[in-house]
Amino acid sequence: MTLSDHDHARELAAERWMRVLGDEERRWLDEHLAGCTPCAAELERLNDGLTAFRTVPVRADAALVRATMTSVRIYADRLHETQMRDRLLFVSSAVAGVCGALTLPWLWRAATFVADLAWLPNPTPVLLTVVLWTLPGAMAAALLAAYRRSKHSRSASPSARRQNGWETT
Amino acid sequence: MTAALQCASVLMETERATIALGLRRRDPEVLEALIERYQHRVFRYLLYFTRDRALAEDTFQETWLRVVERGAQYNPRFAFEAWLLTVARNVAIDQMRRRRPMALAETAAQDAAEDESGPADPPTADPSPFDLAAENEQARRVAAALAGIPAYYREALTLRFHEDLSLQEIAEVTRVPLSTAKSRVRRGLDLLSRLWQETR
Repeated sequence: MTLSDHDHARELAAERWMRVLGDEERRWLDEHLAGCTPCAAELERLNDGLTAFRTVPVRADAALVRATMTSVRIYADRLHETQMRDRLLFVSSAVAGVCGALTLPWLWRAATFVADLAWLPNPTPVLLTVVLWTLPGAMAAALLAAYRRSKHSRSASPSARRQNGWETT
Repeated sequence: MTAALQCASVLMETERATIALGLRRRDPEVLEALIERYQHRVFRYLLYFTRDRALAEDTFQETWLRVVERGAQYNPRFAFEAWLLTVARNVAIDQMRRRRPMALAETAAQDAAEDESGPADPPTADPSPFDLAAENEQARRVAAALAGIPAYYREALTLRFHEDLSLQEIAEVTRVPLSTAKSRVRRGLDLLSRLWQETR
């Protein structure tokens, strides 16, 4: 039995945990271990340690799991809500864009008519069209921004976080 | 035999597809079922990886929130466990970077010096999570042995022998080449064997 035999045996003993050994390798290892007390002892030690390692009872605390489930549910709901709002915003923007494009010629005509009627100078129809065309969108954006800011400040406060179940301890 | 294997494979694929769909829809029922099913495995992995119970608990919650957030990224062609543990690992690294940047840097240094016998994790003031988890003499011995094993080897051992992941899956979760994953398991086994003997 040579030194490299022992090394090879150790190598195979560790390999056993990572892949299925071939018949030849398994036979050689079994024969070696049968005749080599130090290698057999080392393998037994490894098996012991590994068995102990695998059987250590580590479990997640039930309260932690419950709190996590609550947080997950709330977070999923919130993401759903955000997703729905974003979709709604996208659809509204698209509809508004199409309506804007369709109504622009009428707005232009109306602005020109008003400017002619009131004897207003030349750039007035253009300015009037721009104002009339962008005003609803600008107002909607300002309202949305104000609403989001107030909602964010409400939800960011520690009391609100506790109320929402985010701070579970 | 082949038919049974095929049947098991189809069932597994169906289950993965159901999980993927549930994650995409952020279905609370699916999410709760997943938490219920994987709670101990995720927590155990995090505890072994971080060696800090408080950090593991925070990371546990954060992991599931990230699953909710990025569930759509799960590809049902791959095992859900591997994906979940990858998420947990990323969250743990983020948290460790935030809380204990020095410890993480040392862990990374150990990773770089893979072939050398790296030092164990730096001692912390808190009691070891394994000490807290230890309910009997055997568990205390395991705790003592594991305390001397560097994080990446400990992680490889956990993934291989607790989570029963293949070497390929370990490589995917830890984002290292297959050969590195294999050498980590080998080195972890060597250290565990040696330290287990020393705790007698």
